[in-house]
Amino acid sequence: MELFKYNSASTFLGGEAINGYDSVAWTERYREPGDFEIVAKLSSGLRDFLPEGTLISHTKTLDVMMVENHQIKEDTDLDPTLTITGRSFQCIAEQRIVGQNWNWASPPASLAVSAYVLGANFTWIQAAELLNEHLETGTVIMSGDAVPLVSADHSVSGTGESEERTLARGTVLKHLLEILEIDDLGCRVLRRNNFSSLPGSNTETIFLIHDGDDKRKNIIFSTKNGDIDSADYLWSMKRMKTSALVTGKFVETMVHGAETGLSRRVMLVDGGDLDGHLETIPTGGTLTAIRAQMTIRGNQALSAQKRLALSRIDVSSTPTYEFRRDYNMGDLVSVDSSYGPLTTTRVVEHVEIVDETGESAHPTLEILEA
Amino acid sequence: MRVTSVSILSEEVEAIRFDLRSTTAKSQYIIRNIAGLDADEIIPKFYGFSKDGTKRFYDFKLRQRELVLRIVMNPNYRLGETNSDIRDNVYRAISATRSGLLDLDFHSGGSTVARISGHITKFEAAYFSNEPELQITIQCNDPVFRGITPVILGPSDIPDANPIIIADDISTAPHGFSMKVSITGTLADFTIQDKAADPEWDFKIIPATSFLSGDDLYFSSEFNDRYLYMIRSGVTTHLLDRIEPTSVWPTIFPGGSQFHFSDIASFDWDNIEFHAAYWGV
Repeated sequence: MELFKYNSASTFLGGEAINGYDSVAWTERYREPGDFEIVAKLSSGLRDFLPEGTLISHTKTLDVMMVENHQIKEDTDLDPTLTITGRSFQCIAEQRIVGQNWNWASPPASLAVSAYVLGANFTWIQAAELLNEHLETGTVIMSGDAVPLVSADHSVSGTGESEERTLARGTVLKHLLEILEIDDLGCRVLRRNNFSSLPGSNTETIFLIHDGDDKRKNIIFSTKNGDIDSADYLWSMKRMKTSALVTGKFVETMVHGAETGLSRRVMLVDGGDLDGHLETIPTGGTLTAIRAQMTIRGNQALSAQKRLALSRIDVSSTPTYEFRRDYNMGDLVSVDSSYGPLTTTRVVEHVEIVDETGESAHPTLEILEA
Repeated sequence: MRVTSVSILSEEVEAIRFDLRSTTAKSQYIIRNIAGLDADEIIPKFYGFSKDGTKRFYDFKLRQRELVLRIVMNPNYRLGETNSDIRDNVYRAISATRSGLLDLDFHSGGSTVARISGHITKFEAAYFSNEPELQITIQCNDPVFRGITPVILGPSDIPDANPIIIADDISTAPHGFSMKVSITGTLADFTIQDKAADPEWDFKIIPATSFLSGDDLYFSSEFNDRYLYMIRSGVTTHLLDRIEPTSVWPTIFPGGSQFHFSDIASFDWDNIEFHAAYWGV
């Protein structure tokens, strides 16, 4: 793993080597933005070499991360240390607010706070649309909102629920994560590249909405083969709900699941943003529309739940399979544990660590079915 | 490695020298022991598979090295020297420069064969003993001993046809190297691999637009000084982002290594350079 910084962040070209650090932890995640931590001596000069806002990556990955923090720690017993941290490039979506995509230079006289609506479609298309409408050159209305040479796309096939989605004001990243959670999708960054065996584009950096590949038949982590150092599993129904009460300022809607009696477990969902702009109790068509939006909100909250509360599988440092060669972020792989039959897991995190003892890496696998 | 003397330098200025073969009455400092010169714990770390997936590749690392030098002070009383005087010489070496970095050079006869650098982190003096001793501890970030003078292969030393064999009969540890080539044709990629066919590893650079005649390509896999860039019409473009992610960085192993370069007729050699590396002394 050789870290580099983009000398030309606007073109995603010019990767210059980063030398002189003591340790690096580089974490990529399926849905949430990944993060990194570089620890170096203050005398390394990396604070000047990697100013806040610098885009970095490493030679084995297509992910791109942004330097966000510099921390200097002084201790009377030690050489001052510099810790540089940041997150995956998706964090740029935290700097865009849903609904900002208007022509603010000459807004219509009647422009009032209005809901941002994604037309009925699959979640993967809506997620890409949400990003493009706030970041992509030619799609944003105010050109200054665009991040040059960046766009969003998806690689998901098949069908799913197709419904209209009304988003409250909030960061694009927050709403992106909510939409991705509905169908258990992830978001990868594919830096500009022309590597024939890898996805991406030679002209731009892409946010790719994806659901991984199904490699359960080929990739089987097994305790018997020594692939797994340790594993912890916890199944819990404690937070599992079967119905949702969506509550706004004037309107409430109950979304019932099929379960009744002992199996009915109700959650409370905030729908205040859907009718919060009204001054009086809505009636007629307005009431019907708000109830429909609240029903969608309730169904989304119910479907976003997972039965599993916690799982952790530590893969051996000399595994049978190699990340990025045999499997990738978000892929479905099997775990042959000693407690039962083959378990389907998703690769949700991968951590690479470089320190004085060399490189090490391990994935985190999340169990998908009980 | 045969070592006859050791010297401590600060910014290339020798502060102390110890002769390991003999000591005379004129020797101000007599070395009793140097601990930490061996390889100690070697940590194998898996870093990838061969291209066909049949071999596992491991990198071998050492932890940060701590050298402990036990030194007997031997002042020349006839010249008016005292223990205090020559102890102060060592104190001055702790931080004689702004970097505070000391070099320990290992000599064989008149030539310097290896160097390791670090900071003095502990200074212990036995003030009230018959044989006044000092014990200094030097913390070295890079635990590998490295040759000072680079081995340089010029265009006449490097063949124009594959394989390119780089001999290294002096190193005991693997190490990186640097090279510069001048591109003479159009190259969509620049690839280094271990064999002509069915390579176990390769290192492939695919620039955004092809390499062109007149481009100069600079590469280094040396410890803490890795780089890859080209200069075209005076403009420097760094290329680490254009290295294919499955690439393995080329390394020279003790005894030497063999490389195959793609389109070797489409570039001219300028040089290949490396510093010898040693696990221990």
